[in-house]
Amino acid sequence: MFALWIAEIRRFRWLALAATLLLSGTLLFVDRLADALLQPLSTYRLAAAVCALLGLALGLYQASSYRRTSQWITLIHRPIAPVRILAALGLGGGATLMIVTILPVLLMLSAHQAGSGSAPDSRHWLLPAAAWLIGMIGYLAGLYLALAPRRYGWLAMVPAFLPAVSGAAGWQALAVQAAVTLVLAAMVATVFKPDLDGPPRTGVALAVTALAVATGVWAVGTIIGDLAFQTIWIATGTDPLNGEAPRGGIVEASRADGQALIAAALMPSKAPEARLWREQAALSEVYRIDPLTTDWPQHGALTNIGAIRFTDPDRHVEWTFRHDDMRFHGRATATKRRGGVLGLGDDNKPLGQPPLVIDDGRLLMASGMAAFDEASGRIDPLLTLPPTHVIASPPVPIGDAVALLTNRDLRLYDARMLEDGDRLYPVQAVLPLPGPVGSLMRIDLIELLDGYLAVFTFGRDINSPDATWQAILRIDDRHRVTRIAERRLTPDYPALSRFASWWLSPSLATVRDAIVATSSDRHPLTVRRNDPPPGIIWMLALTLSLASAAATWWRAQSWRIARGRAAFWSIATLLIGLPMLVALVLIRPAPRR
Amino acid sequence: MPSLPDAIQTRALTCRHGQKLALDTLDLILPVGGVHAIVGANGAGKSTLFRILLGMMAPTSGDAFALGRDCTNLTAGDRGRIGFVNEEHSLPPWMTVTAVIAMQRAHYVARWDERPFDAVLASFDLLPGQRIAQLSRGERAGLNLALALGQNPELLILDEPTLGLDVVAKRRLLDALIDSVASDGRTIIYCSHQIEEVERLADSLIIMERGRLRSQSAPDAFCERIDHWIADMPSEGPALAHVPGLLRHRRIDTLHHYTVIDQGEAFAGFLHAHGARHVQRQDVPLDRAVDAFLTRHHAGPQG
Repeated sequence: MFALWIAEIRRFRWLALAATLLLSGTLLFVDRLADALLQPLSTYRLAAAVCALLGLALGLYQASSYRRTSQWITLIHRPIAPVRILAALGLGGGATLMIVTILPVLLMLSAHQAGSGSAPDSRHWLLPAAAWLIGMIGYLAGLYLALAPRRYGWLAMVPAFLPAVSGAAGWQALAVQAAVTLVLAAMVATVFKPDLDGPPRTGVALAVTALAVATGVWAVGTIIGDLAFQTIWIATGTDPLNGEAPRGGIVEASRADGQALIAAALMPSKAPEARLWREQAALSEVYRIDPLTTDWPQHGALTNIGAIRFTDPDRHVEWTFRHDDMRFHGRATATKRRGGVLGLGDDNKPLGQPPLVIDDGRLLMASGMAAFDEASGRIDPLLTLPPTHVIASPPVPIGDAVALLTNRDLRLYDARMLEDGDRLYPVQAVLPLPGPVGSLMRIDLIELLDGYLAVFTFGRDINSPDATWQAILRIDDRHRVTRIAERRLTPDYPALSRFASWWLSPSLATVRDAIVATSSDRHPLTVRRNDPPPGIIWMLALTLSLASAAATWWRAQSWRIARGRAAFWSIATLLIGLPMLVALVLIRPAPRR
Repeated sequence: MPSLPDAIQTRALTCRHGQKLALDTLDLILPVGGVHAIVGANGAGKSTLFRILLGMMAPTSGDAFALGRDCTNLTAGDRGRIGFVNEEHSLPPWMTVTAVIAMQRAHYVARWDERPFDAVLASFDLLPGQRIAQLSRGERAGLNLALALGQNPELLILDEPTLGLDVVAKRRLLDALIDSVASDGRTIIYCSHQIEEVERLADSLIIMERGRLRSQSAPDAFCERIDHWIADMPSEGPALAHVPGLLRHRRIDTLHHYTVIDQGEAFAGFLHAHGARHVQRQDVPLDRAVDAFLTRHHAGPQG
């Protein structure tokens, strides 16, 4: 095994050297133009994609060079267990990727440590490991794609996309990447066998592959089905998004201006003032609040959600936030000399949460706000929300007031709060959210003579099970909140389309929703409410699962699969649905006749 | 598992590639020791048989055993006992000769035999620092065979190892192989379309056709079964469908040439009974015998 490992290292050594030099040069050059450690999430995602693609290319190239029958026999026909041969190849590829991905990032971080650009945080020293792990995920996916039978190999690669959607940050992101790397390594081991075109050999390997392929079929089927459905609708000119929006629907609500939306929301109201409010809405300025669609920065996260630097123009200092001590660190704009630490208030306390710099010097945190005072050169706290409250939108001025949306409520303050803080100007009124913030599309608000009228429109994703409705709340001059009316918005897409992922596989959709729900503590802005599947969708899902299970049993019998295994496949299909039947057809060899 | 391990044993071995039947209930037993040549036209199922024997392909049905081990469950140790040389001599092109040799030595350290390895390699002028990609096909074949013999396998499968080699390289390779055959108990399975190589090497001759075993005997014994008769017959002669054991027929004027199998001297009487004025029997060399056997369904045109 050692000899094979060394052979693979030697094989790729010049390629690795060239790639390392190219990447290092590019990274250092780009870093000179724009500080790499201060880049937003999109830039980090681009870098991660480069690492993944490098790994994918290496994996595909390495495995493809052994894929031909004669080459495969030469590789595998030796007195070494296949898994040890795989280990030798994988360690060779892994070591190559280690040099190509880790070295450039380490060089860049070392340059920063030595004084070039912003000083690296402890969290940044995890970046080389993340780059390597993402490269390894691409590499193992490449090995699998090259070695697995083509009819299903690409479908089984669903786990490779988990790090991109997990929402994990910091060391947790590394843990997710490491776990996915291990899972993919195990999956490659299931196809790294003498008989490349045969199904996985052991029951466990077969079960893991079947589950991965079924999940892939489900995900790809949902996406392709949706695309096909949308394309047909658009081609026939009947898609709600590209023609006249149906009345009373969610598309109409998403397009409507504030006045029209408030007037529509007031339609079912029996309040005596409803007519007056409608007239007032038509004449008033409507303030619109859109919820954030991104997460908040997390302590120790490897990437930045947004800006973490601001400039003090009077003192000519750039202040950059560091997670290590949760304070800003200064750097002279002219001399680039580092110096000075800036925390919260007079006693320079660390900030409780990593901030986003939204204006020059105004700091927005998950549950608070602060602002840099140019006169005093100090960061003053402006606002602290109660525990469990998370800001869901930057503050929006509304006349003399300012509205702040959180995951639980809409809070109204005197506008001077933005200058003098909530100690002097505490919250005036609180409107509890009439639905989960993750489903909230928009809020439209007008000032009344004696308070405010706010319309909450729910249904952020119009072709999904997301519940769609409007609620209108009034807050009077004594800050009492009254629910005026609710109005159901018609989903413009048919249930067949909105619940496609559900009827295709109720169990996989339920597992997905459960995973999302369990992460709601970490991602409070993603909490949403779905409509329950209508009866016809239940019937469709049940019929499809039963028919798929019967077809699985018949297919297994015709292929002369052992009865025990056939029963196992059929039960799995009953539980998972049509995708498992497709997985069976794809994984099993062609029928013998 | 068979009670007495043969080098190779297959029982009703069947393998389908889609609609094509590559092996059709093949029953084959090759005893331990000697050189067994397998010949057959393209598509006869030879390569499929080797892949199954090496565990690289699962049969559709039936069983295959190599050195008494079930081929669908060969262990690393089993693979160490079986050597394989393919027609492409597919060694890693990026490696140097020295590196390939070092790696093979390391992997086969428990079995490695320097003597046959050196003997074969001495016939080829290889430089240690040369990359495999820089070697000629003949040099690569020599190195590949040397490595296979150095592994000291109990069973060595050679799948058209001389394909594409020039005369010199081919002779060197065969000489090396003949020298190594003396090894006690080693079984060599030699697949080739070159019948002169088979004649030179083989102790037994296996003829496969369309996935089935058609003949298994010593090469000389196979030749003895095949006769070439020349009959002077002014008439059309017997209908070809009624000629017993006919493999091939050609007619030149009044001379009819019949290549037949398993007929003996009695075939002369058959020819006389159908109007032959004069008949002559000739021995058939192995290459023509195999050729006639494999093309027996393509009897030549009349006249």
